[in-house]
Amino acid sequence: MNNQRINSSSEMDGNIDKLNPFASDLKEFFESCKTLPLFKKLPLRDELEVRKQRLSGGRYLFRPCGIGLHPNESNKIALELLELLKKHLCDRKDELSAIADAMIQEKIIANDFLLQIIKNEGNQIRKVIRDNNLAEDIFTFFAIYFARPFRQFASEYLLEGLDKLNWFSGYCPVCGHWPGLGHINSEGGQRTLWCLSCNSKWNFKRTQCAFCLNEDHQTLQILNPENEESYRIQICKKCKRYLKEVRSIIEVKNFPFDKYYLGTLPLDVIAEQKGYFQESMLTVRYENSEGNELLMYRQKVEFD
Amino acid sequence: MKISRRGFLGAAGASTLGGAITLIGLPKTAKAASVPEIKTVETTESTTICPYCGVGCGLIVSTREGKVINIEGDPDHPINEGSLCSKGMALFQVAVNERRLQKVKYRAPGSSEWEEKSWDWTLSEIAKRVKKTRDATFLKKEDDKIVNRTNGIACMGGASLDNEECYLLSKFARSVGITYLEHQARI
Amino acid sequence: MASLAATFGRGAMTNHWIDMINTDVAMVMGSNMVENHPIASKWLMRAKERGAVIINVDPRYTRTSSFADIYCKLRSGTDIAFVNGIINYALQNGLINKDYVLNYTNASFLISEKYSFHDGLFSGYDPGKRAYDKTNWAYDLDGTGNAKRDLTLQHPRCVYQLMKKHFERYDIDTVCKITGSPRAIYEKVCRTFTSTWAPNRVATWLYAMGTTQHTHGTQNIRTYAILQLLMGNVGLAGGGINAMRGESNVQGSTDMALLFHLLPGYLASPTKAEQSLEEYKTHFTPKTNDPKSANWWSNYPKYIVSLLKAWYGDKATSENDFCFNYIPKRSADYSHISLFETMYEGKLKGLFLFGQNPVVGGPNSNKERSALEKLDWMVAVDIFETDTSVFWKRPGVNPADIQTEVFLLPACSSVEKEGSVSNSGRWAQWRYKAVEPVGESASDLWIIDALHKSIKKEYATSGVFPEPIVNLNWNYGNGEEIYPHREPDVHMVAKEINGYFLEDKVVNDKQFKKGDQVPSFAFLQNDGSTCSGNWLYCNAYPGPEKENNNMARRIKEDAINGIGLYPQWAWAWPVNRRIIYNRASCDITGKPFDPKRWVVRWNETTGKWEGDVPDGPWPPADKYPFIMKPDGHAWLFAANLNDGPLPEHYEPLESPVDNFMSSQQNNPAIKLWHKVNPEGNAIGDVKKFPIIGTTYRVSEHWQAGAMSRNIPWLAELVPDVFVELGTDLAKQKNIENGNRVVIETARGSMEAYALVTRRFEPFQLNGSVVHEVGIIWHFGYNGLARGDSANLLTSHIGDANTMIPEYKAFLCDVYKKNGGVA
Repeated sequence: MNNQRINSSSEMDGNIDKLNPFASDLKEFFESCKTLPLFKKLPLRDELEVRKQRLSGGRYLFRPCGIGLHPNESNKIALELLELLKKHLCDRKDELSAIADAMIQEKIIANDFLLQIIKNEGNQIRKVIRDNNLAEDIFTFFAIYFARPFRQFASEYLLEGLDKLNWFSGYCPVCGHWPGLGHINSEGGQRTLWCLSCNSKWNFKRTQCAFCLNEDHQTLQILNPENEESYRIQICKKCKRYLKEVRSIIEVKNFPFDKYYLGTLPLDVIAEQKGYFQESMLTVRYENSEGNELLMYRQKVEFD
Repeated sequence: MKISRRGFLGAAGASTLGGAITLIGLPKTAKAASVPEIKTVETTESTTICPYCGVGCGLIVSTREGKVINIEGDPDHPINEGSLCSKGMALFQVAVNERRLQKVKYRAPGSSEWEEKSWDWTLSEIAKRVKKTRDATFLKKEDDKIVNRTNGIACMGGASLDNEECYLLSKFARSVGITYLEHQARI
Repeated sequence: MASLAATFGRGAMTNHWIDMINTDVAMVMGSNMVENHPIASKWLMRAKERGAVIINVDPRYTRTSSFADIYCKLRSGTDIAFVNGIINYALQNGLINKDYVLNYTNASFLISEKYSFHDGLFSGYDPGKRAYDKTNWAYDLDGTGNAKRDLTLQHPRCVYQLMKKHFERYDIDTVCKITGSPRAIYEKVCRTFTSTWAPNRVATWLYAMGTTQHTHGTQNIRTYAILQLLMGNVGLAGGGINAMRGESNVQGSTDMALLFHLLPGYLASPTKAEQSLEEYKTHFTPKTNDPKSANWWSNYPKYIVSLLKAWYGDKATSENDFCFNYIPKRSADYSHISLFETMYEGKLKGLFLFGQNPVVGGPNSNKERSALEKLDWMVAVDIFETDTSVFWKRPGVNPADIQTEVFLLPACSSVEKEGSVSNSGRWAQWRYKAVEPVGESASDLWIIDALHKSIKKEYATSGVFPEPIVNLNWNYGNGEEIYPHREPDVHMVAKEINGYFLEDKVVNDKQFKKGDQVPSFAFLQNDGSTCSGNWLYCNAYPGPEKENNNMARRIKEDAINGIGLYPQWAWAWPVNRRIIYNRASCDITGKPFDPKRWVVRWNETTGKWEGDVPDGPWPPADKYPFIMKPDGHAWLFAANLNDGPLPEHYEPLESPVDNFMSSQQNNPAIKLWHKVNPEGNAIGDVKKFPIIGTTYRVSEHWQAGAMSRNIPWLAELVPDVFVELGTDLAKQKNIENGNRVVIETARGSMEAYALVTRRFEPFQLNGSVVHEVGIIWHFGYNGLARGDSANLLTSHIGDANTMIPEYKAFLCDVYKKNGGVA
């Protein structure tokens, strides 16, 4: 019993539903990737107790050094993904084709490029963009989703056996990227954070900045579009970062995070307009066991 | 790229998504400026502890423009983990309730009605009565032994006051010499 | 609480809410926790999922009973017989944790030859005074001033043997005759509960008002404590004696001593016998000659001096006894019943009420309401207009006849102010201000601050003995004048409660500067160099910044022993110890009795304890575990209680039967107010009032109703007062469900709707059949939901030690009103 307004007609709901075809194709694509051989050599995985200790110490689990991939598979996956994106992002078809061409002509070796993404080698990625004269934003987008099946596999592999994550840091416990979306359970109000890069989910305190860990409620706020109570961003006046959140009756395990991540772009606009930001999706937190300082490896972007 | 507000929120799905992709993946973008400002509301979420029973469940209070708009269980509180009983769930109606006392009320001897009064007047009048009663009933000694108390004034309450308030009340009451000091723990 | 203090040395829930998940057997007795502490029940539910057995003992089949594995009926007021029987069962069958009992309790201590017990009375009784000379129950001391002991537990005067003799009278048949419990179920309860004697099995005892609101309430709790000690369950995870308190901060308000007999931190308030600070220290500081007894209360002088410095600051010096004589000294019992009796006699002129509604919550409402009419003035501070604040226009009176001036001050709700509250588990949790107080309402903090300043102003130039008021140390950052929106700084108050250094000082090799917060009570001094408003809370705010406020912590990481301690969520007293008496959870080598649920354990390598904050850092076996008792042992035999060192069954003051155990019908140490002041205190005869009456609550309402009967949602859920009666009795009285009925006692009568259920069954007692009914007590004549108050029926009679009124058992009659129509 509370005064929470329940939206009978939500524009955002409508917006998100229109993404259903794209979302379902994307989901099918990820599912099909699961059946393929992704890793020739699996990422390093410690014993369960050691993994628990790593997490207690704020150290994320995924260490990409030493992994082995299947070059042909990687290439196939890249091209398939590009076709999917071309189908749904019609107005960016040409730019996507340019990327595909570059891969077919082996100006970009899909497998090498994939390793660069997984290892968070931002400088290299920027070089590829420049050398091939590609659209920076769509390429970044493609890169994240290209690496996704691999990182997602790694996440499931590394989290095996860990039911309750003793995790209190401002980044993903698997791959170290910052969370892309927060899910708030309609019943009980628990917040779960989701990583766009590897699909990991972890429980996180509501009244805390998911990035700098600020807990002062006077410097944290919730912004939501008028009449859209279920869609909101948590802003932190201390670090100026924001997190998109969706309050939903759909349980976490069934929640289509990708669909909502893409469909809530208006929230990113709001954040930008109010002066809040998120680092590039390619950003990862370097391992740093001392203090709360968040060392971000930022993507420097040149404006036109 | 020009996107109207209406168009943006109720956009035709993926086709505009492509353009909007611009906004993600970049720390700063000039393109955001092309979208007209979307009206938003700002809410503060603060934590509190339930004022009813002694379990001490956690709650999140949402306020907007200085008013409480929602109270829900605090999902991160280790005892209640977001759940609340019927009283906790009704706390909103304690915060927002037209029956809440908002002004000082005074009842004169023999009167059948309340009168509204100011704090200034009230505090001064109460102080006068406390002094009058205390002076008239103060006992410095009893059977030649120092007692320094007034048995003419009693103070009762309050199990729902904060610790800091209880402490000050305890301190205040003794300073006046009150020994008839009791509250709900006794009953 | 008095009972727990007598047994263990401090009165508080020994464990905490989440800890219930760790138990094997939960005994819910004297409580309907699924109804009144609903969220806490979730932890019991999780224990059940792990295989725990839940036992519920109640006169009525409640929501808790339907959730329990074993439900056993008992007649209201017969708890002592019930539990004494289980104690007897344990002793007769040797089902005790021998190690624990021998090493950690006073089972082996010898008692003076002057001790005896016969026909319901202990030795040393003075029937004229209705009081015992407790020196008759003292220890038999050896030459060094310590108690003589027999570690074989065979000596006829050792506590263990005295107990065996005392409890053997409580065999199963006798118990069932008194309590009306079904024999087979009672036996099952005995068997199940005593199975936790084993070191790897533990039981928790959960109780509330059903236990305390009796003339023998203190002894009720004593029985629980004795049994739990025999089982070795105190200090362990999933164990303990857990009082489930009913208000959000009644724990805090008790800690801060809003009671006549205490000062903050459970120090004694001075009596007429203490004319100097030295006398006070001598009277109340316990001594021991046993080097293995930590006797933590020996630090009493540090705590009282630090308190006096907090209250009188620079004015308190060693030359003037730190203003000790400014504190009013008591010469009598000033508790609730006594307060209203005095008021009734016209001797109390003024009354402050801070969020309390006694015309609904106090016993013998008729008398208490009349008493209020004798006041010159009343200051009521509340968030809603309470029934008490409008006593002058209540139904049946003419306001013109009542001269009392009433000031009703608007207080703000909990979300409109910042501060801390302490839950039953001793967790002090900080909470924040979400919005400004509505209208002209103000926080109690502001109101009390304003009252003090206003009164101080009155005493600036004249008045009787103004010193305690004008010299009071009172500066909370909002200036000398009173401004409606200038709040005292609650952080400054919290920091004073914690305490700080008043001069540069070196303590325990640490250098402190004047103004530094005291890190914990181990650093408090008795020379006036420290101040602390409440020594128990010293460590809650050990540093100067808001970040140092331990009560505001919200860190969700559990401790290494994984038993749900959450040591960095908020802060618990004392010094963040989450399970008290935890040294008793280990044997004398420091090894946990139950390694699967260890609370603390001794680490040989580091030379330190691990896990929860230990009850003292000393190595195992260096000190006894019950550090708050002078002899370091838990008291099975407690010689400092008014009604006896061991629990004995007596009937409630109003009872339908004679006491089967002895010719002492009632508790011999209770104050018989009906004999002292007969007016308004009539006691009922069983011929006229043959039915047992009791009171209880529902989940949807809360206490005296101000915060629930004014809430539309809750008022809608339970809009009327009802009396619950069993089908047998209803048939007898020709009452149907929904009929309008009258319930009457010797003191008053009330009307209610009849709720006829099968939850009350008649009691078969030693030859007679007795019925019981129950009334919910939340209602009053004011509010959205209105109705008669159940306390119109109850009486001014209280427990022999705590004076808590006997709300739970009285005699009444029930009959249809006007053919049952409203």
